[in-house]
Amino acid sequence: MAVLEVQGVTRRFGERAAVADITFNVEPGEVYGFLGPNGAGKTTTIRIILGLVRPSSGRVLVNGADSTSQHVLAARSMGAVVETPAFYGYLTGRETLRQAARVRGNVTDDRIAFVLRLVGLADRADGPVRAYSLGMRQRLALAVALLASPRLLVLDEPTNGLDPAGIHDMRQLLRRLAADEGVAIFFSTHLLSEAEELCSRVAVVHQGRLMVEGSLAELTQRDRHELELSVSDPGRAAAVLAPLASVRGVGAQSAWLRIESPRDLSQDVIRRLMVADIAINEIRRRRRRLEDVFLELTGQPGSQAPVSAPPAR
Amino acid sequence: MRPLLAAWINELEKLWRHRRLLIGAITAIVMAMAALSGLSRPAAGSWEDSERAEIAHMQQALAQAGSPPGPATAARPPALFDLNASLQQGLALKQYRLEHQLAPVDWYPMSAAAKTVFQLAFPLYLILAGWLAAEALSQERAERTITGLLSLPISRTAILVAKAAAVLTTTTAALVLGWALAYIIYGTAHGGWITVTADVAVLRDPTIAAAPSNLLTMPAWTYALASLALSLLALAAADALGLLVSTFARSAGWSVGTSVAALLLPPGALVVLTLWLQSPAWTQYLIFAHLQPANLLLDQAAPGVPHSSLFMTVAVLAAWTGLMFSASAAAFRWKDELS
Repeated sequence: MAVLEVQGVTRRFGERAAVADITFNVEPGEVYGFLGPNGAGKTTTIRIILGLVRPSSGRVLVNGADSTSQHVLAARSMGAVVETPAFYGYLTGRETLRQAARVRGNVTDDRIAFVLRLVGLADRADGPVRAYSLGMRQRLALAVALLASPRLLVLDEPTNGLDPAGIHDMRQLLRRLAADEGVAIFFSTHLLSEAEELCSRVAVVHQGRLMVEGSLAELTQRDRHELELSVSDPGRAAAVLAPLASVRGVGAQSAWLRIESPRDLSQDVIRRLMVADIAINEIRRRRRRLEDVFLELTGQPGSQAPVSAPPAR
Repeated sequence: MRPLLAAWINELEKLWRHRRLLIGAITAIVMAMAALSGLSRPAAGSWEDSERAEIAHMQQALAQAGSPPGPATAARPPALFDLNASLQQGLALKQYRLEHQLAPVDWYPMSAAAKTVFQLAFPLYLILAGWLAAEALSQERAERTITGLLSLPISRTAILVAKAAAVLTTTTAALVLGWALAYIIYGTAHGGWITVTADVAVLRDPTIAAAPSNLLTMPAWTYALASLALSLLALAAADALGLLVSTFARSAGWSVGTSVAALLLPPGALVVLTLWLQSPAWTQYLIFAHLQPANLLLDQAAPGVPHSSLFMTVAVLAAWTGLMFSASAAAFRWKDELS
């Protein structure tokens, strides 16, 4: 059974639909990326999943429990980090975890110590949170989310504010949680490289609508096959292949030809060029990147590199 | 039940860590008021001697004022405040007390501390309750900690109940602490620590003459406990009012300002309105007419001041508290948290 089921969720604010008829599932052990440009409806969707915002229609089931009408039951299976995490500055990291543990119940001091070590905060756990950097707050938020061994982790921009080492550790941790403990991880990010590196499946939202959803392989090969050729006579080759598919020259002096088609034409291309007695120096399949898919669907480039960590506060 | 208890403990911890300076400042002000009041009282002696001296002063004042002006006529309307009548009422009360061995309320440290804290200094505790409750949700929203709070496996109603209970617990503890410290100050200044069972008398209706039929006697400890119980009702009402404002507010400053203003300004305006409109009946159903319920336990006549019955005060405070809390629970349950 899917750990997270989002079923036809719509949320309107007046006339505007911030989220429109979104449906997807996240299975145990899966890392699911939720991509979209700013204002696409990612955070509203996450808030609906967490029960912070009521959907206008549709429903969200977490481990079978409705996140709105059965919030307590749903929240028991879920840990979350939403946007830039905020805490009570006058409490220490350990006290913050104790507060969450008290409400969740069945969380021992040993478990608190374990999650503090897991996120690399054991040394600073007894300092006031107001003195924590953004990266440390992000780690503390993850510790709170992991406290009760959730079946679903909902993360909104989880590596935001982390330094490169922290980003690496976080990704390792997420991979391990999904692979070893079967935790379903649903996370939103604007870093396409991060999604490509971590996710088994992704969804792209734009203007509140789910544009596409599937595995990375499905998305990058969806409706488009691309071949790149280096041939002895590019001009004649283009003419020979023109009836078959869209052909254009790429690279310096159009030395390479790029062939785009809705199906795999590699066999046909090779046969036609051989018949026309055109030598093939090199032929390769061009793998589309998530960036290309994102750009096509949203008309906006995604971010490929992590933004630099803001200074410690 | 367990998550509710856990949330209540969490809220108590947050209140104490975040607002202990405010609580300490109010306690210090109350201690200063008790010290000033205690030191301004006559030196220790018998209360009877003190009362006799005051009776002599009042008789002298009456003699100097001459004969009473007589009943009102068409040419001379009744005065708003009749000094002669007031002096005579006070004199009769003191003589009755002497005859029946009823010391004034502020003679024994226990009841004197209760009178100072639950009547004189009580607006400070009302502000404290309103302030803490007004911050309860608005500050979580302003500092964006509400997301983490609402992501925990606990219902919104339980969170609201825990917050209301924590504010009431904290302000009650501050109130009892203030009373205990005032008790120590009065006891240290004048002695009489253990006089807790001696009777004191309050007026059933302070707006009319202090006749024996209008007096209610009770031990000093009962007076203190009754004052505390009535004060708790008002603290609960201030708590509910602050929470109601907080449910809708995004800024903690706005929420606190609105709640404190609502607790302080309307009661004064209502007294003026009541006098001006000659006590219209509808004003007694407003919560603002009952926010200092320990004032029901007055030990001297206060003609002209609006007065309510114990039943009306308790009923109005309980009804408004229930209404405001239910409204904030319903609103909070349905509210989207978008920040």
